[in-house]
Amino acid sequence: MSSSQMLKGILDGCLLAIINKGETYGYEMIEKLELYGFRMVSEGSIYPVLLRLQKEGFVKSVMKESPSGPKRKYYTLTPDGEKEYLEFKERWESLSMSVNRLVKEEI
Amino acid sequence: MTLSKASEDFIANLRLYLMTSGKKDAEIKEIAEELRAHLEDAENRGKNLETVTGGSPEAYMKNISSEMTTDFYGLIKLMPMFILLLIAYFVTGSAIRGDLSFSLLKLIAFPLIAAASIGAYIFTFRKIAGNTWSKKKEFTIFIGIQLITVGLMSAVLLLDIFYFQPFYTPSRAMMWVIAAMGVLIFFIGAIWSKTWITIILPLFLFGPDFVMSFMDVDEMTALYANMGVFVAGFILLMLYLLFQNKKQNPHYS
Repeated sequence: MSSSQMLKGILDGCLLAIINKGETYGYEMIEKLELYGFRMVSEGSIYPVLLRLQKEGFVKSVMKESPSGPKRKYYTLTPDGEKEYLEFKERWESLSMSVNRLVKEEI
Repeated sequence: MTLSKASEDFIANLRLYLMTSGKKDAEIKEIAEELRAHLEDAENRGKNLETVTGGSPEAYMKNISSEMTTDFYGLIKLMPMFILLLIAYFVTGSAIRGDLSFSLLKLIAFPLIAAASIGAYIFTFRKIAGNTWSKKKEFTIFIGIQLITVGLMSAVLLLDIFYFQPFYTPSRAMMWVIAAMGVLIFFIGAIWSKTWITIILPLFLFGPDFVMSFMDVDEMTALYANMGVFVAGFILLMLYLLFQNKKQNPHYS
């Protein structure tokens, strides 16, 4: 299983985490993800996820002229999105702990 | 900041794909603008289209499309005008020539052929959007669909002449009323779609019939005149498309 396939299931949560750090737009999310060590196979894969997050009411967006460059779509979390992010964080912590225990044979 | 040709093509194709998938105009515009901004940023930093779409534009378009809501209500709203235009195309020419009649076969077969033909066109448009085919291949496919459509319609007309009795044949005066209604629908269609195509196309198809219905010409002359205008119109259309293409892509043709 490639890491991009593994990432697919948790990209929703990762984007919620990135947007939780402050209003941001698509390309900037990619840069931030890269900063944390994520290597995206296709940068565009965040947009279907963003469409879904918006449809589910977890994020809202606004089009803004940027001082330099093109018109950009900025995303922020809704209260529902903040709740979803906290739940993702809990789920991820318990899952990663179990996986770590398993692969490191800690028991 | 201008985008590379490949990226411009990708965005145009994405719009076409989403449009033929029945997505909302406003939402299509939004995602297209968002991806354009992303591509501009990416190309500014020396990346190419593939780092964004991940190698398969068609799979990526499908992925985007699956997350957008399909606007069934919007599609249904288009239907009445569309059906009116189709009927007008079918009856106006015959009404002008004076050979309009309604038979059961025509009433059933023509709508079916029209639906199949439109379905084939939309399917091809979507395939074109997802693939990078040569202009020659696209052109061949469209001509193929057109030939099959015309062939099927001719077959139905022949069958109709030999085996079916019309259940209604309007009087000559009634045919002029029907023709006038057809022309009116073409004009409304042009205003509604904000293009000239619904006026120009019938003009080429039915214009010669209209003029010749006032002249005393034999059938062969009429047929030749019809064909001549049709071929001339086709060549003009091709030249126009070529010219448009050159204008939009001055370095690429």
